[in-house]
Amino acid sequence: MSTPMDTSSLPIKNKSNQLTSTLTTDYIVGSDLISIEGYRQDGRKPNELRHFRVSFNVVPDADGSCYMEHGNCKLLATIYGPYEGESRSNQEQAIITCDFSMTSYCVSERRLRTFGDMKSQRLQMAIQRVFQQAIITETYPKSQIDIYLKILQSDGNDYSPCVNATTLAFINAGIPMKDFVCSSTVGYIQNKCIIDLNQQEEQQKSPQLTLTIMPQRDDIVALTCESRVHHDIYNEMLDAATRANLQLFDLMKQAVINQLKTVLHVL
Amino acid sequence: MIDDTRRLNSFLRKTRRGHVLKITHELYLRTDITCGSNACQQCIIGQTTLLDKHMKNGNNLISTGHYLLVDTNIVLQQVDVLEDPLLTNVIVPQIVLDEVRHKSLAIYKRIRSIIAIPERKFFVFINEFNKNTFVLRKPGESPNDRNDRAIRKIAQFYNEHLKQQISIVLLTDDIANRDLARQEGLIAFSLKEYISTFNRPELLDRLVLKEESFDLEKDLGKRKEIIFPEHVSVSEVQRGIKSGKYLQGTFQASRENYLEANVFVQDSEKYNQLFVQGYRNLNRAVHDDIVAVEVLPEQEWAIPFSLVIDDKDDDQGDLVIEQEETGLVVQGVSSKRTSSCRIVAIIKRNWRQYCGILQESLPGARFHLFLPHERRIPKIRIESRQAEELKNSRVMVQIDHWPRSSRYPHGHFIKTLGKLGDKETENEVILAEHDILHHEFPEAVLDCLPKLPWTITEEDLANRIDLRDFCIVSIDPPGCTDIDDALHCRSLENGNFECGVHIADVTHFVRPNTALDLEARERGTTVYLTDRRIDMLPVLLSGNLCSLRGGEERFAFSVRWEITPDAKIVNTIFHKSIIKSRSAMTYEQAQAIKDDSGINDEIARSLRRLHSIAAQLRQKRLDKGALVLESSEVRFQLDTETHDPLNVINKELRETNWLVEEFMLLANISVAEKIYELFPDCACLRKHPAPPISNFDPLVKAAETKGFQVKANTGKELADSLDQAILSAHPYFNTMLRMLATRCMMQAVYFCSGFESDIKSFEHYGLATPIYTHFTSPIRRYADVLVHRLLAAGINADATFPDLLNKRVLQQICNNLNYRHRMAQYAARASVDLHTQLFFKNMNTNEDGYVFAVRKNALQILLPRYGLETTLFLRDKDGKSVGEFHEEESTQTINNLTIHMFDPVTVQISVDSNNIQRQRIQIHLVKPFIDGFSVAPIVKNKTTIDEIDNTITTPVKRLKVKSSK
Repeated sequence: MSTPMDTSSLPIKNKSNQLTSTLTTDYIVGSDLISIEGYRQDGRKPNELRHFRVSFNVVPDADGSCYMEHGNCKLLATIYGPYEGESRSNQEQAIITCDFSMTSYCVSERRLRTFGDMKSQRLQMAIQRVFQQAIITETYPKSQIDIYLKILQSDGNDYSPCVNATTLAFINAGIPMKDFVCSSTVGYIQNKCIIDLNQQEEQQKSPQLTLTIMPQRDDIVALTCESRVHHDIYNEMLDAATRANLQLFDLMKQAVINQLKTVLHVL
Repeated sequence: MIDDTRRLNSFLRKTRRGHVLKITHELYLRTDITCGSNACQQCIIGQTTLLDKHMKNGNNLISTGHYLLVDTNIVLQQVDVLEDPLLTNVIVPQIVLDEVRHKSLAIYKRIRSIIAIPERKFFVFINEFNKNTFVLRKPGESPNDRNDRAIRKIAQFYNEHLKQQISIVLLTDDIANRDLARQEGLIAFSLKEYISTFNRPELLDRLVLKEESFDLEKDLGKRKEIIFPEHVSVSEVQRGIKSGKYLQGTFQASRENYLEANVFVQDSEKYNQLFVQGYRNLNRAVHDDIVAVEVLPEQEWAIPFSLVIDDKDDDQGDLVIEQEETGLVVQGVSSKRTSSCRIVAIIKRNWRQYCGILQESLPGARFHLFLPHERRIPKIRIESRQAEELKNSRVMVQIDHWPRSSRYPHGHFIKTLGKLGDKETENEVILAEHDILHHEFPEAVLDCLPKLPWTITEEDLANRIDLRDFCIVSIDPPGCTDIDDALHCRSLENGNFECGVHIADVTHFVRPNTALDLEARERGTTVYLTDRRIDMLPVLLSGNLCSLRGGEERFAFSVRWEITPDAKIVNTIFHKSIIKSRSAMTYEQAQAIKDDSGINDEIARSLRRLHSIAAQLRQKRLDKGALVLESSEVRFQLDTETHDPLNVINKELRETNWLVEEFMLLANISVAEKIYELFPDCACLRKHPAPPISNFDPLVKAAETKGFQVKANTGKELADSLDQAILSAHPYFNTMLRMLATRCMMQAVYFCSGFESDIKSFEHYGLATPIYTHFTSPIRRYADVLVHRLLAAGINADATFPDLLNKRVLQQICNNLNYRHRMAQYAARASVDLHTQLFFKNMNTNEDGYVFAVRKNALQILLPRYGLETTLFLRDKDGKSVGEFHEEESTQTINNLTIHMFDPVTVQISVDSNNIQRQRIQIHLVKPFIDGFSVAPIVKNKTTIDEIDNTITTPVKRLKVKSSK
């Protein structure tokens, strides 16, 4: 009976204010990277790539070059070589070096240091290793090939666009490769795999995976996943990443063919 | 694959964040977005096509078929109207949803749930990604204007797209927007204009009142005056809280006095609780709001007014406040002053929908006052055209705003719940007031259920241990349909016993993150009202597939122990199983079988074995300091057809009751240990913290009056001292002490182990066990479902899922479960109260009871027969206090007769129906007879305690006759 004098139940009741109804759907509604209608914030569907555009021969002095726009990411890849390296030993394969740098205006907050930091060095190493495998290096003993990568505008992950642009630059340079090398990222957000993350999506603390493959050989060249992922989801993400890479491969192949067509036309 | 319809003409949208950052987002405009109309020939028809080809709703503003297009403010403010099934074929633009979500998550959820109903034909039109409807913000244009223009653009698009077959009606309450739309040749109305044509007064009532409509009062000759001080701005509040000038807290209005309240302050070392008194200081805060307060200087601190004040029943407008406030000042000693504050701003409103009645007002009046059921909520002024019809009904009302010039908040009508005093209606009120989700299960949830006839597949069998040959029985209260536990016991060759507890395998059917799972998670628990059960899971599961019915093959989650004859546990195993219960017994039947030495079948033998082990387990637990607490629990015997209460039955406790209980405890503890071992970071456990010693003061004091010493330093001490406090002349004394002890306890809560640093805080005080969880009732508690999933994943019996190890999500679920659990308890209590009142209605009876507590101006009387605790106010007919209160001895002296605690008394019970909204049980003292205060016993029986049975049975018989008519 709740009569005015019934103070015995008061202390318990007062505590109820600490327990507010936290509807369990809150955390589902809270993040909104994919709307209920199934669109991402930039209007893409989960399985769609960002806008992709390339042009070749942008640096005529270089042996191969490629300017690439992938979403908001803009970068320049140039290849010098193969040339006779400062051969210290009798090496049987070509040496590949990579130099990665960013412009100071490529991210929204100006960078003071544009090269040589930890992140760049790690990226350099990774790209070097990927292409050491992909290039048929035995063709060029005692020689060296240099990759120069410059990010003009960054949109989240830099590694994948760098790999893709380098591939195209190598093709432009006419250096024999085992296959295209395609790289793309996949995130797992709101129980869905979304491919080709932009910066906004990448900033979410959700599982992400970067896959680099040789699509025609069905080989995985590199795979990184820095978050804890449940193994059921992991396979799902891997499949999504592979599909994304195949989409990307089509675009890259198309770009190469188009380039070839124009060159032949000129000739 | 690249979508062919995707055009890559990316527009850039620039936003500035902070001072210098420039962030660029891409926006892909598409041409493959469907318009959702069945009348359209161009768009791809998908599942999302909702809007009717021929739409008619009896509206006479527009003769042709039309779709409605709503803007943000309509959704934000008038969602109550939109919820009416009359409105169909509504286009909700994406931009409106985004804005709504930004402004109010609660309303966003409501509009989302309307959209989810296919029959309502609410279509979400993705306008921002659509190439045809995207608009770029013009230089100098405000975002609001841009959004309005975007909405108008949608109307234009539809007009062109559908080739004028169907008109688009833009609903907006923004006059400027409406004018612009009309200039552009669109059809635009305000919501009021549109729904006025339907001749549905209750729909109009649901419209949110705008400030301007209250200007009418001016014409009525009432002066408009600013009553309340202005709230300070948000930025001011933030700065104030940071600097310590203001404090943030939860506002809790007083039940007794509508001009007083307390604020429970967060993050302050100096104050825990601040007192607020007076209209201006309360400054439009409503119960449960989060407020910012400023502490008053010490000389202005107020003294709580001890007497009960009800808000005057007549609407005197806004001017009365002055007089009321002056009457409030209490002259008193300054030491009684409490730290007081005034409300400077409301940080977050926690308004919900309130149940109550309309106060009678002049015939023909448009504005009415609404009296909420919850007395801590102020009256609410609403506009209604149907006051006559609503006169005797319970209605639901929502507060919209509280202007500075109004004494009461303004709100609008939502719906009627039914006739006042009707049991159905009152039940609705209980459910609504306790935030209990009792809607029918939606289609999406029912779709998750297995299809009947349900069969057991080979695959199912392969993953389970077959226990169908075991002698498993279930023991439950009579009439139980959701049987979630069963037991077995058999002897092993080495002389030990194997006991098993088998729990319904609910998680086999309720898969994580399905609609069914989310619904159950939201509901949290099954709610038991006296005459109704609100299920957590649909009845197909709760009453059939998961219920371990006798003779049927069911899936179970089993815990099996090897136990020595002296009840030591040698080994424990957990596994999923398939069982076939031999018999579903009631406690009574089980007791009879156990006691009848003539029966010696397998069931009887295992019952006896179980009993002997349970008795030893129980003894061990009690030795460790587990508490045996009492609370007055009664059950009503209900009329089978009308569900009116016929009689009261005290719950009988048999040996078999605690037999089952003991094994359930053992199972819960074993599982708790296991899941904590498996998942130390994300185990869902239940703790019952030890109460602070000061909580026991009332108990210690009460026991002292009879010369007993109660020690409460540890649970063990408390249990022992309670065991010793027995008065042979007063057998009920011990029970009452235990009831008092129950009230000193803290609330047990679910929690996620990853958020408690110290394993000591896992302790369950009442059960005297270091770790505890709930495993045994997954049909009616969601916590058990969580625990089942954890255990199943841990022993590799079931697949895992992403959220399983997310401790943040788990803690969030636990918080919700605690809230739901508590609300369910309150609702159950309210339901018992309701039935007690119905029971005593039309019947005046004498009953003997005990003085349970002595208060300043009242005695609490406990009536053991009904488990009813009521208040006997010590005042005479004129309302003057008659008693003399001695705080030290807890006694009241009335006319030289002193009443002590635990004294037996006889009282006369009746129902006070003066206040139509809050009927309450009222009692008068009969014995001991005090001249001028007590009433004479009912003439019919010169009451002695022995005769009471007669007085009870007569009215019950009368009730029976009535109900059979």
